[in-house]
Amino acid sequence: MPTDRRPLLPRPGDELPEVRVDLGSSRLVAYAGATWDWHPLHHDTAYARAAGLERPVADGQMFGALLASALQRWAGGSARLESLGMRYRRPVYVDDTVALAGRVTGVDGDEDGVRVRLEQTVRNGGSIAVSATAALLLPPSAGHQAGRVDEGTPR
Amino acid sequence: MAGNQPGTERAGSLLTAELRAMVGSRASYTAAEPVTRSAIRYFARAAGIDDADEPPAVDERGAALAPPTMVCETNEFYAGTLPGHGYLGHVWDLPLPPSRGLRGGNEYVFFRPLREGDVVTVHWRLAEVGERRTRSGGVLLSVVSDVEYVDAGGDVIARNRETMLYQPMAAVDAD
Repeated sequence: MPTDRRPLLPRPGDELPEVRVDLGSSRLVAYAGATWDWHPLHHDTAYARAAGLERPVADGQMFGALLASALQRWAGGSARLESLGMRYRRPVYVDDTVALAGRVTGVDGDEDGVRVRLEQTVRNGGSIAVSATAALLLPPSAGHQAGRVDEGTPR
Repeated sequence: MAGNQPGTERAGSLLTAELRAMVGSRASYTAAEPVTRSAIRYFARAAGIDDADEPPAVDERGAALAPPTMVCETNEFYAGTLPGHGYLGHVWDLPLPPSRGLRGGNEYVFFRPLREGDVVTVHWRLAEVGERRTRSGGVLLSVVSDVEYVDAGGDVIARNRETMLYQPMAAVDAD
């Protein structure tokens, strides 16, 4: 069962709560402005169609921000995102609504803290638009002791 | 997607000798100004981050900390006249016929958060090129770049391995 916040000690199999995001034109325009990327593929319908697309397409990198935000919301402010790798499998278009999901795949500890590995997806309807892997570092002060992490069994 | 061996280019291949010769190409850009707190808030708001309008997390010196992916996703570090296609970021001048470019993937590694006040230099290197056939028999070219974001002291803030995919427009029209 997904929990709004991570368990004190995440275990393989723990699921993140699903996050649904409406990708209306205002959101795409805001992201374009915030990232200084005004490519017409992301806001110009005629341009997008001339390029062989149905309509303006969401910048794939936007999903990095959304996936990272979902991870941080679940893991809490003390967690540090160490890595995020994404594969963009299908275009996502303006006015699509996507669902972000994630699952813990591994947990290990060292003197730096507890490292949580995760898989994430961005679903658009019945298809996976983006697949991702991530690693979060939970500091020792977050209630864990390095070297005593039990990988445990998946829930 | 593995790179084809030289001399095995097939009809319709985009993997020309001229393109292969670009592997190892480099480009660097230094931001015209430091990262600002308002830019951080704008990114957080655009990314739908909770509490985007609340005071941001700060470091020990009171500098606002950016959401982790901002350093790799913003193009504010690139200066110059806005090109006709509206994209200010780095683009390799690839010897290709008219093609559609799409993102294939990004792999980010973060060494520390981007901070208010950072003056960032971005280093690009064209790392790999490769090609495969699509199910419909068309050609799909991949171009992999290694990108490094460093601060004014030369310390690495983040790295980004970016894969761009290119498909000739003639093939796109045929689909």
